Amino acid sequence: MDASRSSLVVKNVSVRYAQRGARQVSDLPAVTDVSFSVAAGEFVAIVGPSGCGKSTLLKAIAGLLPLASGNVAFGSGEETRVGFVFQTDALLPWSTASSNIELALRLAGASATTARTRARALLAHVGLEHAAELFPGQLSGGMRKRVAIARALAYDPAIFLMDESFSALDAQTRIHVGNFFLSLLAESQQTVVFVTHDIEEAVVLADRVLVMSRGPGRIECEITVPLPRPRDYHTTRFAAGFDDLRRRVWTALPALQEMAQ
Amino acid sequence: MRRDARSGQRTTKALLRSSPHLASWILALALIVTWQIAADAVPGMASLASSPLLVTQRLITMTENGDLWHNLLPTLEETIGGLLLGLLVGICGGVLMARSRFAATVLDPYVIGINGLPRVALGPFFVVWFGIGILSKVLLAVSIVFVVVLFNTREGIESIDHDLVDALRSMRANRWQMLRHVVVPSLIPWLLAATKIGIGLALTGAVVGELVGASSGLGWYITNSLNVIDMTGAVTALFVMAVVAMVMYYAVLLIERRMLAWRPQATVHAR
Repeated sequence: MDASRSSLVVKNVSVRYAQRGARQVSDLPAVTDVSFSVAAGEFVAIVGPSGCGKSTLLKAIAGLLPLASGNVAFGSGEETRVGFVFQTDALLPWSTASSNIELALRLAGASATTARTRARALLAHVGLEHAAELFPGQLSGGMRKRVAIARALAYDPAIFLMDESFSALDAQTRIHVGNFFLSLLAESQQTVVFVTHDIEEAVVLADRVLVMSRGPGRIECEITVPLPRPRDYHTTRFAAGFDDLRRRVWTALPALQEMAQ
Repeated sequence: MRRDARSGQRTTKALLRSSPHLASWILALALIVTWQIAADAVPGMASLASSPLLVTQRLITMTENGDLWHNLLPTLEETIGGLLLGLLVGICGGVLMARSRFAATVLDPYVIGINGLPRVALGPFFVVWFGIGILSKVLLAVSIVFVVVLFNTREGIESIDHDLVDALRSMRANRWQMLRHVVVPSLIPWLLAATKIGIGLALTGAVVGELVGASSGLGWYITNSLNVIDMTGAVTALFVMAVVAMVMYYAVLLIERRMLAWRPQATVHAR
């Protein structure tokens, strides 16, 4: 939770997606010529129709997929730590909540004893002290997501990359975890890139919403969200100006434009 | 009176339902008693199928004169050796074929061919090639065991949760850390399942090898007993084999319970 926040510059990035079919390897463009930048401490959401390559783009930024062209630069240099939060919790099912977090700390270079005490502190921070020795399979979806967020925090990232992180949760848990995440951000002022297909979620969370076109993805337009912080994952939806912003994102979405034609 | 009998029946049924282990023991007891009664009642039966009492007596003499250990030990060595070596070969082959599309395409027909081949037919060849000692039996066991392990290893590697790999990659885990924290733990359930099946297969390999040509071992003891029409000896050896298979299976089951404590229920079915 250090304030080592990083900016991000994505420049002319294209990603091709190699897919191994039954008979041949197809190499399809998933993202073409995407450029955008994120200031340190800014929260940017990327929305787009399913299959537009938004998750691919995020994975490419994280270095999990190779870039076909263009480049990705983090403000804090090459060794920038990235906290990736997946749609699934992506916790090791054979490790307890505590050891999952300890592993992130160990990979970030902490000693075993430091990792142990910090993991406990982080679990307490996300309100899961009592679950330290439980396996992910013994936790509820919301608890697992909190452990996954704690793990990302433990890695002490300069930027959070979040891929539909809350979409697998049920509505109520999503509000709970969403608010929890917003309160964490209020403390740490982290830089976040958040991919989602949920327009309301994007508007509630972000300072800026990037709308991607149908695949192969490009950035269609960007909409600034001037809603005041602190925000609430649920009640901000009823704030003045929210409806207008939501409508602007909706109309920018290619799916809707096609339907209108 | 009738009602009493019925409710008595009902409680017995409830008792057995609530304790399947007890039911299992009762069934064993019933089978043994039936076998003994049949052996006593039917003339000539005991000389064809022996009897529980005869087998017990034989077990005692075999323990006393050292015959049991003398024949159990080589079979155990062959079975465990074949199982471990089969695991090693199967894991290596499975990893190779899961990692390299080229290797998979080249080797697939061979693996399928070997899998379809009744490998007990290899027994005589192996004894000719590798002698009547322990080696031919171990190799026969390996030839049977490794295919299951190979299939399971491949399937296990292919079903590794890609998000876990990405999660660790995003935290810059190196190859060794990835292997230790993701790959090996993902494979363990598959390998335990293969091991459970492999026990019976390895024992089959060992015993078939001994039937073909050996100078000791439980399989040899069967051949030897049948040559002098000593049914009790043959049945005793069969009984010891069953005990060996069960003890090994439960040992693996214990390991599995420990290693897969994280799973909601600790069972995996191999293909």
